[in-house]
Amino acid sequence: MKVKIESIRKIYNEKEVVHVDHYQFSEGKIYAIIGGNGAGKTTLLRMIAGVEQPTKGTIYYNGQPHIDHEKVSYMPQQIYLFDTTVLKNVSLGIDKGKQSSQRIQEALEYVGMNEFSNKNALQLSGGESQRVAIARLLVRKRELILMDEPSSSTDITGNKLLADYMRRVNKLERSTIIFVTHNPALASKVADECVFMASGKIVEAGTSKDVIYSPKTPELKTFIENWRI
Amino acid sequence: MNQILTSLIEALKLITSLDREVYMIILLSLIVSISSTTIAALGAIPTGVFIGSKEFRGKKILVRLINTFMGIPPVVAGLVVYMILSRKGPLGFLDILFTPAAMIIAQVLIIFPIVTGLIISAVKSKVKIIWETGKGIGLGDGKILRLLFHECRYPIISAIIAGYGRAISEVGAITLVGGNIQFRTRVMTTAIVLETGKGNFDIALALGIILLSISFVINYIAHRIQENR
Repeated sequence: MKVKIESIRKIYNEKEVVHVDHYQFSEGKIYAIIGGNGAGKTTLLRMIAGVEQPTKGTIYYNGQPHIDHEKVSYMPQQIYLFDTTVLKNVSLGIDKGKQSSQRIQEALEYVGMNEFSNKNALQLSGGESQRVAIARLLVRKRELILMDEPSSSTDITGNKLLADYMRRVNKLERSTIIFVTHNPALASKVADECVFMASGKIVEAGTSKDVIYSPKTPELKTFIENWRI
Repeated sequence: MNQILTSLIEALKLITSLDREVYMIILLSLIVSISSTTIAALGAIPTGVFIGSKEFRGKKILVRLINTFMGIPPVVAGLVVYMILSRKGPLGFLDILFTPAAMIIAQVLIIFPIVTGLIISAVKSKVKIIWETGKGIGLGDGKILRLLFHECRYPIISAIIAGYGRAISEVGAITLVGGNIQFRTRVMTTAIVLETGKGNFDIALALGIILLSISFVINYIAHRIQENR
């Protein structure tokens, strides 16, 4: 799915937290939105996901100004698993059928949670919960996948699984994936394109390698230098 | 101290003697409190879930009003019901003043805001993340509402039990609208007040023990429900 942002602004309590004049997320690519705290990454992603409305401006999805939630998968920053088994949590957003059972099993195996499928989701650790939430999201065949800090609680193995799975879903289903991260290493490993935000604006954007290894703007240089420390 | 001990022994004798009046009082107490809790819960659950999960004009004022009524003095509620049901009142034609029906109405008036207020708080704390998670995996509004109800089931049960606790221990309103008539509208709390006034501490204490035992059983059940989650 192609996502085009046109002159969007988000204002909270008279303070502008996001201001993006124009940006386009192309179909079938993986995008990472990076930046420091309060840069506006999450707000931008929430507006793209349709769970928050821009104060001004429009977001177009394949040319349409309205989001079709059926075609979009979104994982909020705060993971919420329902008080039921891991299996039921993952199967919530997918139609029942033989193929879907296979997809669910595959997704659980991929995130390394197949042994936990009959366990209550509330008994899992933070990292395990995040893996289940990722499986629940990626099990659905969708044109646009949005993830807010998908690796915030995962360990190194979890990060690798996440990276491999995003690549696989993107390759097999040509889904556009946009994820927010504090971790430039994950961005450079998985994303085709990288968007750097600071003070609510897109300051620099380009291929992940260019953005992370050859920063041009002083804000991005500082961000990358701080990350390297 | 001696008097308390003597009363306690007398109370236990009274409980085991199967005294008709005592058992009538217990039965009526249970009928009135269970009926009022059921009626209040039937109204409070949809009202609480609706107010807690939806945004609408005047919501803040409505919630404040409910919170204020959560602490309504029972005698005030009783007075209002008395005025409405009295011969000259708007519902005087029903001729139900000084009957268990009037007592149930008064208790509903007292516990409905309590149960509703507690459900609103429970729903409010979870609605945003459940709605976002549900939308993120493409669920419809109906399915999200069912999930919200499922996730809030324990606080809802607790709210109902809190309402029941208030109903069974209430005395002011039911004395006003019930009249504490022997074999007709006398319940445990009103009987305790009456017997204490008459100096019959053994009967009063016996009823107090029964009242405490019922509260203990209700709390035990509530605790078990919470533990089994």
